[in-house]
Amino acid sequence: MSAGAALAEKFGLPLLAQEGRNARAKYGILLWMPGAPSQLDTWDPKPGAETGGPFQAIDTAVAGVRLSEHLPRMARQMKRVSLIRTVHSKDLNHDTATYLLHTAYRQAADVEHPHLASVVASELGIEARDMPPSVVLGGAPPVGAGYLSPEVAPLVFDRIDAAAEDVLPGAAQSRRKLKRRWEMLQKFEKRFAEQMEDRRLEQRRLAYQKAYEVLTSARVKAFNVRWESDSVRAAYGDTEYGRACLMARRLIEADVRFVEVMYGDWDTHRDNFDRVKELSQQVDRPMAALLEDLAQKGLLKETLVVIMGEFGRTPRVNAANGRDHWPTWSVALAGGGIEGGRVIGKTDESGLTIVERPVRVSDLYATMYRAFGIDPEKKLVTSPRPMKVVEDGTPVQELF
Amino acid sequence: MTGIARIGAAIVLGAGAFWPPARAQEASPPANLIDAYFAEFWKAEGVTPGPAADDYAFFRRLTLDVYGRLPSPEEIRSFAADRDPDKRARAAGRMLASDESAEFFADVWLDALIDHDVTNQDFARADLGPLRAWVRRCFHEDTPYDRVVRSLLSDRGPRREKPAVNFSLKHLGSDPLPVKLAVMSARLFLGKDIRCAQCHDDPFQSTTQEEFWGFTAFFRPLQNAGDLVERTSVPRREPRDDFHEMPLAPRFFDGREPESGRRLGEALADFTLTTRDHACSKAFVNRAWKHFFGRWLMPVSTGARDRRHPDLAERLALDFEKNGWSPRRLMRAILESKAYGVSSAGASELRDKYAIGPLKAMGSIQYFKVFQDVFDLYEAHKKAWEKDVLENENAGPQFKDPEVMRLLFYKWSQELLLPKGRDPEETAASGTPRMAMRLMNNQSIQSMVNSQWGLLKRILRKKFTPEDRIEEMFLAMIGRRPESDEKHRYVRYVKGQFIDKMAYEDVFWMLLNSAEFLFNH
Repeated sequence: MSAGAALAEKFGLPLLAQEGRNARAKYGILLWMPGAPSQLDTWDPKPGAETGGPFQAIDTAVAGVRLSEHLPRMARQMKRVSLIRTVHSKDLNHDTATYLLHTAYRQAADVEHPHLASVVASELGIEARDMPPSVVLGGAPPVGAGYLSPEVAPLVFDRIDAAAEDVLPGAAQSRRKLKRRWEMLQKFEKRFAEQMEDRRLEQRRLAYQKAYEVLTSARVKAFNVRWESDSVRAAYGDTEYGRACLMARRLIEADVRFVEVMYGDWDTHRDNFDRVKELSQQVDRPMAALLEDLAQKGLLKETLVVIMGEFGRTPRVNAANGRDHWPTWSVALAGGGIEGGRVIGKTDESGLTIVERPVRVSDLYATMYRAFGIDPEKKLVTSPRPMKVVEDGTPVQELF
Repeated sequence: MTGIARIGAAIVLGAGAFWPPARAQEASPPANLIDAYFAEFWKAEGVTPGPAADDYAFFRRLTLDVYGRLPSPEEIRSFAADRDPDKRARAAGRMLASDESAEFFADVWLDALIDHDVTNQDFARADLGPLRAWVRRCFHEDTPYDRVVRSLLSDRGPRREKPAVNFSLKHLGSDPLPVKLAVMSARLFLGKDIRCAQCHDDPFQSTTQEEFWGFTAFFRPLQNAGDLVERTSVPRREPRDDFHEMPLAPRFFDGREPESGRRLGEALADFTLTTRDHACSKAFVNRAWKHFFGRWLMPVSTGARDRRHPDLAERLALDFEKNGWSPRRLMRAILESKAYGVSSAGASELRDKYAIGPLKAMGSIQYFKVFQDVFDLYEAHKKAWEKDVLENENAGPQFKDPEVMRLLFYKWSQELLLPKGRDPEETAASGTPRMAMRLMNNQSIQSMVNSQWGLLKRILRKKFTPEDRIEEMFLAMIGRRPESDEKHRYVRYVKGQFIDKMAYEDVFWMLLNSAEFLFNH
């Protein structure tokens, strides 16, 4: 019996009947918190414990589930959100852990694994030819398409506002001007392309073609949040992160398969509490608005939303009033067929040990892929060596 | 001959052959070696090499490869008008001996030495200015390459007086183990990719994990103590699982071990320069070849499957060693070869066989230099540097070094031109939609596609008729004159627009986004 089947049995979930019954995710949004947020000061509060810090815990929409007092709006969304409080891994280096949490694989010298978004786009197909298959806002992820086709590589905007500079028309070049120049370019390129027959030229031509299609697509205005009403923009908040979350929803509506938003410096080795408080206040409203908005538009059931960073932070507070790197942390998931209001796993009263249901990164990934209806065991490629979607991962069945 | 004696001989040879400028003529004509190899190869493959590239194509190729920039219309015209049948070899020789080429090759080499990545931290833990100045001087003086390698591997001491130590200082970084430095040294000086062997035996590169840690042990005594220090004893470390570390004594890949009492850096340099398979000279030949042909001559990493020419690499490496490890002589041999000089028009199977000329994406340094010229970025960067660095009391003295200034400029150009998170080895020419969007539509870049800015402004000020202006734009951007149908088309386009400046901007944008501009061909 597989571990998954064993767990399913233990929790009384008939595995086969369960599969395919729920809605499946067609889109994904990853709200990435770079630097690793402190789980005890966000999703897994321990008020009163020696390790708990000064924050209070507040009740949420789900009885018995409590969050940090600085996430009041998310607290009201908890019927839609489930938490895994016992994700764990040994990798406590930011770079390699960020890689791991974007791919389900440890970084290797000889092969680059694909970004989660690329796997989703590749397996579910690219819905819109005139939009990028996936978009990353606010940072540079450690990987792109990896060994998958370059056409499923995410379009990366290191700054949230850079999307507008590169993609939208502006004062320096209108759409009409771009179209006129593009026609000229097509004609001019013919001579050289005929002379120099070469795979790289063809590759470049296709890249330009794709770029042009996006730039001139009617849907490209998904990158422009100013098309939204004042009330919607106010709901998300007129902040960088508010705009990014709103843009994420607009992109999903425009059939972009996957959007990752990276925000904040959560690496709070010093001054943890002031900084986590401030960051929580910055992200609480946009995150909650996104869930509310997706739900109201009927998009949440087909959009998997995941909120996480690369590892956890020490329960013990260090001399600089900070928290250091720690192997256990919490991940929040919503939508896309994931049942809301559940809490998977439990840490002890000081947050030092896992007392119930440890979840490996590979299990977390198997869960996410399961939500998309992607078989974690599937071999994506056979060369340079056989690569499965996830190596040795079992979906957390209790979430479906 | 023992390894050390051989090394000594090589140094004497190199040093002796160092000054006389006529050295290249003393030995057999270098291009023959490559030509002889390919004559045989083409015959065996049943292919006929293409015709020689015309003057325009050749001169653009050469200028990009040796100066890292586009040739100016004046330079092109004067080269095209030159009647000397030997002008190509002459131009190559003259350019290779110039300051400008030393500057460019220094930047390309430095980029490889620092693994295409400079962070502000690197400036804090290494002095990259003196390193750049030293590499530049090496190219300018054509310092024998074995000597360069010896310095990089064995120099110790203060970072300003011993500039080569900054290579080690950069890669020692803050890691507890000198893994990065070992990986970089194996890659650059032995042509060996040993990354996989850190954690497991690598059958593709035939490197075992034990060999990896034996090699890494040569760097274990190194310490970044402000200066580069080689300690006499290495503190023992507990092996940690996440490094897969194997505690080992220094041992070279071929089994040689340093004599006791000898400085490890010296021993490592000896071993590196005297491998049975000439790995060090081959790695340099390979790198030079990649620069000029856009492809490796022999495989460099796991999984490379395309066709290679190890025999030619071997012949060139032996010739290189025999002639005092002179980089300039090797580069001349390549530039004067038939394979380098043939027209690159034709089908890709022919290109794979070197029967037609190279077609390559611009390297990152070329890319930045070309755009610095086209958009006057150099001047813009310089203003920013003067204001933000020179006049800034908080900026450390190492940032005020003009050598460092150039490195910062590349970094700043990169921020404008390349979206973050990209492999800097690939540039626009190899093409991703992301890159294409940036060049086609980024509003900061578009604001410089302007008749009042940069190259276009200079052209419009210099030439007045539409015919002359179109021709000048073609020469300046893609190194050739427009064909008659092209000239007709764009002159007519410009004349047909009410505001002709906007029409020139359109043509400029078109050339800027064309494959013919972004590739070296």
